[in-house]
Amino acid sequence: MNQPAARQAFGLWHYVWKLLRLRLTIFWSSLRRARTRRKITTGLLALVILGLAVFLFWLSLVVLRFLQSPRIVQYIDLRAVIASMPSTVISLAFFVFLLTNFAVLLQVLYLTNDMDFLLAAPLPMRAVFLAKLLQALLPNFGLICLFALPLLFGLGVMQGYNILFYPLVVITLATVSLLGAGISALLVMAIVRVVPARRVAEILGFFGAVVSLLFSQSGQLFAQYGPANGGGITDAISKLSGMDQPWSPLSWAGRGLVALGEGNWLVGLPLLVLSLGLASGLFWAALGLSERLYYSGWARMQVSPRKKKNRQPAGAAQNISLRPAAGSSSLFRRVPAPVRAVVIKDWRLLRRDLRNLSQLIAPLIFSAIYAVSMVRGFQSIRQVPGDVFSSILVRSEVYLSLGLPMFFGWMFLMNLTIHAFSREGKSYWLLKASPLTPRRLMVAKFITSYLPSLVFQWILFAFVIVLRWPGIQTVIYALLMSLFFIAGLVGVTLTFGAYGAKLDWDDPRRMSSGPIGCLGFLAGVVFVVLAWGLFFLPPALVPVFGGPEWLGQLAGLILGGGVSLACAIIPPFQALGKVEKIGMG
Amino acid sequence: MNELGSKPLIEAEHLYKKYGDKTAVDDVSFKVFGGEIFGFLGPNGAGKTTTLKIIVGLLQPTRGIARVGGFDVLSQPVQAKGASGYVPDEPNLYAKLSGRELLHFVGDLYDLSPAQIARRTDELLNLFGLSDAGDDLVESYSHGMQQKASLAAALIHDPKVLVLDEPTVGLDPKSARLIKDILRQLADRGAAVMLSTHIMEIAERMCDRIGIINQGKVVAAGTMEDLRSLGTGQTDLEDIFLKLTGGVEDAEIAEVLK
Repeated sequence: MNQPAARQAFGLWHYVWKLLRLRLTIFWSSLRRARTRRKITTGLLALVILGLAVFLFWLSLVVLRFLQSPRIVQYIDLRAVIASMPSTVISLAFFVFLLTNFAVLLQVLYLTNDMDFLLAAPLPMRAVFLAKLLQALLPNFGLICLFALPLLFGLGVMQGYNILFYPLVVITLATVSLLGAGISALLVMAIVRVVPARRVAEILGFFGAVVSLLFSQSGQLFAQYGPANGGGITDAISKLSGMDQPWSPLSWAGRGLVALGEGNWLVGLPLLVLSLGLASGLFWAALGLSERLYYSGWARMQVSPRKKKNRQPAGAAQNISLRPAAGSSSLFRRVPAPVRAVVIKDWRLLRRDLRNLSQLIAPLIFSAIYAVSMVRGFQSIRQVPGDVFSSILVRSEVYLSLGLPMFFGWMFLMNLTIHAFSREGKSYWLLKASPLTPRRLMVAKFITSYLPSLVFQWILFAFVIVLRWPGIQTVIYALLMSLFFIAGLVGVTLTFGAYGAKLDWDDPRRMSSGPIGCLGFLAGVVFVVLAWGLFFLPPALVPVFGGPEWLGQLAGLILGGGVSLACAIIPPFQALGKVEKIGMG
Repeated sequence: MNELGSKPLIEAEHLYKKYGDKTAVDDVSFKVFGGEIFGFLGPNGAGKTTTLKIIVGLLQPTRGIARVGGFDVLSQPVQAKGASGYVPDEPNLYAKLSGRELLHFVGDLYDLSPAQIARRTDELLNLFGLSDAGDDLVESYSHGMQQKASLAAALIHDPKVLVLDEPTVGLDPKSARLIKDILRQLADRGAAVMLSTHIMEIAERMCDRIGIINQGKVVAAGTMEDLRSLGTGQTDLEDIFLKLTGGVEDAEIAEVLK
C-alpha cells in the first residue's frame, strides 16, 4: 500500500471508529442518566445473557456427550451429523444475517434522522456507510454468537480440537456476518430504488407480524396432523445437516475449521482461506456497489416523488366526504358530521397504514387457525332422550362453540380500542384545536371500534352456525347477544385507551403506555368471562329447571345485556374528563 | 374596544403556565382586536408557543383566562375553537390522508355543509397551488406543501381568529408572500390574526401591533411607534428586540468575532 492510500484507509477506520464511538457515548450517557430501575434491569440483563451463554456451553457439552455415548450410537448414529455441525451453524448464521439485517439496515440506512447531519459533515461517505452497516450488524452478531459460540466451543471441547479452532470460529462467524450484511445492504439499496423506504418498512412490519404469528401457531396447526416422533426428529436433523454440501463455500469454512481443529493443516487451511477470502472479496464488492447506490438512493429520497394520478372528474372529488367509505347506511348518515368524519378518517388510516393493520392481523390468523381446528375436530355430543345431564352438555357445547368467536372478537377489538386515542399520535392537535367535544370524540372512537368488531364477530358466528346449526332461535340469540357484548367490551377497553393515551410516538409499536394497556387487557378478560357466564349459563342450565330454552335466553339477554349496556355507557362517560385533557400539558 | 371601535377577538388575562418548577408563561396579558395582525416575538424558549397553545385550547393554563371571539377557552371551548383556526410550527398532519381528504375531514369537524366543504376545499387547494397534489397522500408532500395544507385546514371554516406559530418557516419566498397577503386580507375582512415569528422583517412590515415576550413575561407591546418610544434609543425592531430581550451582548460578541 502506498503512503496516501494507507493514510486514506487508516483515516476511513478512524472515522468509522468515531461514528461508532458516538453510538457508544449516546448509549452510555442515556444509561448514566436513566432511572435506577433501568440501570439495575440493564445490569441484570447483561448477567442473564452471560449466564445463558455459560448454560448453553454446558448444555451443548452434555448433549454432545450423550449423543456420542455408545448406548445412543447403537440406536442412532449421529457422528456424521455432529461433524457437520460447524458447516451447518455457519450456513444457518449466514442466512439469519441475510434475513435479519435487511430490516435493521433499512432502518439505520434510510429511516434515521441523523443522515442529513452525517452527510453534511466532512466525513468520508464510505465511513458513514460502514459505520451504519456495523451499527446494524453488531447486535445481530452478538445474538448469533450467543447461540453459535457455546455450541461450537462445546463441540471443540468434546472433540478435543486444536486451540486455534476457537479464535478461527469467531473470525469465520464475523466474516460470514459481514458477507450477509453486505448482501442485505445491496438488497436494501436495490429495493429502495423502486419502493420508498417507509413503505418497505411498513410492508416488512406487516409480513413480519404475519410470519411470526404463523410460526408461533404452526405447532398448534400441524400438531393435529400427527404427533412428533423420533423419526421426525431424525428427519429434521438430517435436513439441517443437509446444509453441509461440498459445493457450498459456507461448508468449506466449516469443514476447514473441523480439519484445522483435528490438526489436518493441509486440508483445513486451503479450505478456510479460500472460503474466507471469497467471503471477504464478495463483501468488499457488495460494499463498493452498495455505497454508490446508497448515496444516489439517499439523494433520491430527498426529492419525494409523487405519483401522477389520473385526475378524477370534478364531481367525484367533490363528493369525498359524502362517499360511503365503509358502506355508510342512512343510519350512519344521521350521525353528526364531526363524529362521522372521525370514524371515516380512522377507518381510512387503519386500512392504509400497514403498521396499524399488522396489529389487527393476529386475531384474524388465530381465528383462521382455530376455525380449521374446529372443522377438523368437529364431534357432536349426542343427546339421550330424557337425560337432563346430556341435555345440559349438548346446550353447553352449543354455547361454548358460540363463545369462541366472542374470544376472537375480544382479541380483534382490543387492538382497536386500547390504541384508539394513541393512534392519533402527533396529529391529535387537529382534533384538539377543533370544536369537537370530548363526548363526540368518544362516540366516534366507540363507533370506529364497534362496527368492525361486530362485523368480525358475526362472520365468525356465521362460520359456527354453518358448521353446527343450533336452530334459528339460538342464531337470533347469538346475533342479539353480540350487539350487547361488543358494546360492553368496547366501553370497558376504550376507557382504558383514553386513560393510557400516548401521543408522542414515532413507531406505532410504542403507542402503548405501560400499565394502563395491561390493565385494559385484564379488564377485557374479566368482562369476557363475566359476559360468557351471564349470557350462556341461563340458557345452558335451563333444562335443569325444566323450563323452555327461550326463557333462559331471555334471562341471558336481560342479565348479560344489562351488564354490557352499563359497561358500554358508564366507563366511557366517566372517562370524558380524561379525554378532555388528552394532549394537554 | 379599540379606537376603531372593534371588539377584542383574542384576550389573554394574567396567563400563567408552569411545568414543574419552571414558569413558561408568567402573567401574560394582551388583546388582539378584529382587523389587526398581532405579532408575537421572543427568543427561543420565551413562551411564545405555550401562549399560542393556551389560546387555541391545546394547553390548559395554570392560572388566568384566555378568550377567543368573546368565549372563554376553558369554559366554552367548543364556541371558542369554532371561531378560531390554528397553524402549528410543525405541521403534523395525518400522513395517510390525501390533501383533499384532510380538508374534507377538517370541514366536517367544523360542521360545515357538504357543499360548503367541497367549495372551500377546491378554493383553498387552488389558492395554495395544491390542486394537482390534492389527491396525493400528505406523506408525499414536502415540508412547505404540508405547511400550506395545514394553513388551508385552518382556513376552511373562514375563522374570525387565526393563530399561527412561525407560519413562514420552511416556505419559499413566493409561498411566504402568499401567506402574508392572505393574512392581510383576513385582517382587512375583520378577523384577528396572531402570529409568532422570528423574522423581524415580517413582524415590522406585516403586523399592526407587536408583543415581545421574554422569559415568560410580556416586556413590551404596541405599535412600532409605541415600541420606538419606549426609550431604548433604538428605531429598528431588531435593535429594540435585542435591547428588550438582553440579546445586545450577544450581538456585540458576534460583532467582535467578525
